[in-house]
Amino acid sequence: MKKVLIVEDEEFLVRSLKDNLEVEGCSVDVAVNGEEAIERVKANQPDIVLLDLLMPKKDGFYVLEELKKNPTWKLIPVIVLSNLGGDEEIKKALEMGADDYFVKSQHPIEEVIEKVKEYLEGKRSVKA
Amino acid sequence: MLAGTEKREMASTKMSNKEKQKIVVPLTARNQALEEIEILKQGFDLLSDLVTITDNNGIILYANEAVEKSTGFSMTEVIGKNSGDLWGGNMEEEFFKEMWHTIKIQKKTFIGEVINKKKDGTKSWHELRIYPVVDAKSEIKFFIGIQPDITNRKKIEKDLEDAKIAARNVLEDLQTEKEELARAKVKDDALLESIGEGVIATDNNGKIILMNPAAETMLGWKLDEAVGKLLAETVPAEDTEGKRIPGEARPLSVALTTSDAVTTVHPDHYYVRKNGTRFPVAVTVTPIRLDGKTVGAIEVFHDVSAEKELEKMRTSFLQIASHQLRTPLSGTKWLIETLQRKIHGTLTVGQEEYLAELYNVNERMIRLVQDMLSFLRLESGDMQVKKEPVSVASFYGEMVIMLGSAAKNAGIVLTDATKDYVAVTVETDTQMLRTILESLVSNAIAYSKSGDEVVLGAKEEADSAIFFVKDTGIGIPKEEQRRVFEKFYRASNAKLVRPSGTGLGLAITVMFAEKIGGKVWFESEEGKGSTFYLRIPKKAQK
Repeated sequence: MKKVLIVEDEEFLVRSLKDNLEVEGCSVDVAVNGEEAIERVKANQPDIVLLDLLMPKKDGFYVLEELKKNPTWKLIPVIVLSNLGGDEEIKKALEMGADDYFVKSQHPIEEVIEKVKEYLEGKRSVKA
Repeated sequence: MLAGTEKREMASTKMSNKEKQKIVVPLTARNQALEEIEILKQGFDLLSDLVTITDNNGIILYANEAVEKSTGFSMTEVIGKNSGDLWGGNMEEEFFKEMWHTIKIQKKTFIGEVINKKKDGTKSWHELRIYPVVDAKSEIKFFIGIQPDITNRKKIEKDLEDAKIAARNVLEDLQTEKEELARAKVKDDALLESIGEGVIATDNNGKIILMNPAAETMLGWKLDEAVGKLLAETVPAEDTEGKRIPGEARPLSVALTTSDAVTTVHPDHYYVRKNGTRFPVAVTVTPIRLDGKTVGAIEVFHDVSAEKELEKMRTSFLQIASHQLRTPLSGTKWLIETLQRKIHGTLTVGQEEYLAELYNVNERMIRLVQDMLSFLRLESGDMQVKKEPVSVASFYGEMVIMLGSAAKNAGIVLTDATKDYVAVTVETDTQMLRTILESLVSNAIAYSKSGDEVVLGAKEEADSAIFFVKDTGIGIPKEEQRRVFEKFYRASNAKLVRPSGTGLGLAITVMFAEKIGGKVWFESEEGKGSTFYLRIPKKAQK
């Protein structure tokens, strides 16, 4: 069973993502901030990370940096799900190693789920 | 002449000189006295002072030649008259009262100044000295009056007085002017001192002549350190990246050479202080012209750090606001979608309908937030317009790929009519161009029906390129065409087809077009379709 880690501080977003992913047969782990995210990765390494950027304590950029500088973790695909729509943020996230970036309010959840499936089925290559 | 002398004179004139000498007249004491008087009289006539001898009532017994010369009254007119009546007309009663009291009652010498009235009515100024002559019994026998003419002296005194007054007036005027100048200078100094903006005056070579305290503070240079030095060297200017802006490119140089006032428009101007630190600055330079020549310039500048901070805060506020608004909206969007995907059970028809409505309303909110934030950012002038070379042909190629899936979902065929196009390159901001065309294409798709075609094309003109997006959709009703660019305006037929539109799309498109120096217009017929055009100059303006 594929493991998905959702890193998101808004409960209602977590809820809908979790429900949709579990229907697809994934097991879903949740972290509500950057610190917790790294703990969850250590404790239960996921096959893919869905990452929000603005969170209390440590933010998504911190998580991205930690994941990509770790030899084991850097191969885990990371999809950024953020409502920060500015060019600068998108560019920064992609340069830091994010594999994809969705502005949540501009994409149906179905699109996100489809993309997750593509990565899990190995149909997309991952940035190392 | 005194009576009694006539006989003797007549006698002497009849005789010849020889005969005169032979006659020896026995000299009586009286004759001797008469001769002495005669000599005295001749002496008196030599004087320029007026001499009168009066009896103790002021009746004139004798007057010297000077009296006639000065007053104009002849001897015969004067003898036996009162001098006061003759030439005393200019003096007050009081004067004569005092005079008589002194000489007659007090029997003392009177000395005063008189203005005599000449026979012809004109005036002369005299000192008046009256000496009473008393006999052995102290009775007054005669008054002797001596009057030196002081008219000239008086005139000189008056001229002197006038000169003094004139000089005093001139002095006062000068003093007043000096005070005015001092006041004006104080005002100007106070003005320059209190102006929060830096003011620097230079000569026509760009050398510093003057600097106000605000400039000194902002730059870290004191006037006496900077005066005479070139402004361009003393105060280096840089752009955002820290690259030096050469002297010729700076506002001061431009103003001096073109004689036009220059203002920095972009916020990329920084001044470097004496200590090496820098601050963002807004500069205006005005050349000083005198008799048609530029003799110098005045530069006024101020530190815009606070304004930049504010702008940054505003920008980050907008960013945070946009994030905070999008987050709950994305939440509701996904929650509704999850229900619609029947993950939590099947749905009745009614439930499906309601969810669809909920979803549309939510989408409308999302688009509204998006458009309003774009609009606010455009309005705040916050967007920097880039200048990049864009190949028209390849640009459209990319767009077709990007919008391909959206078109497919709507059953629309997207055609790129520029495939056989001769490559034209324009200099513009790629992102903004993309935003404009995306907006036009997504409109074309939204207002077409399944099976319709949307054509993307371009035309070349001498100085510009024209992009067009042609659809065969619902078109715009004629009477509403002039309103579609209005903010929040939605055409009546558009509202039916796409209820979640915001009415801001075209308004924003036009604002972006203006940013890149372009123009948007359309041709449309209701029920037949629309073609939207965008013209942009080949070379980016400014």
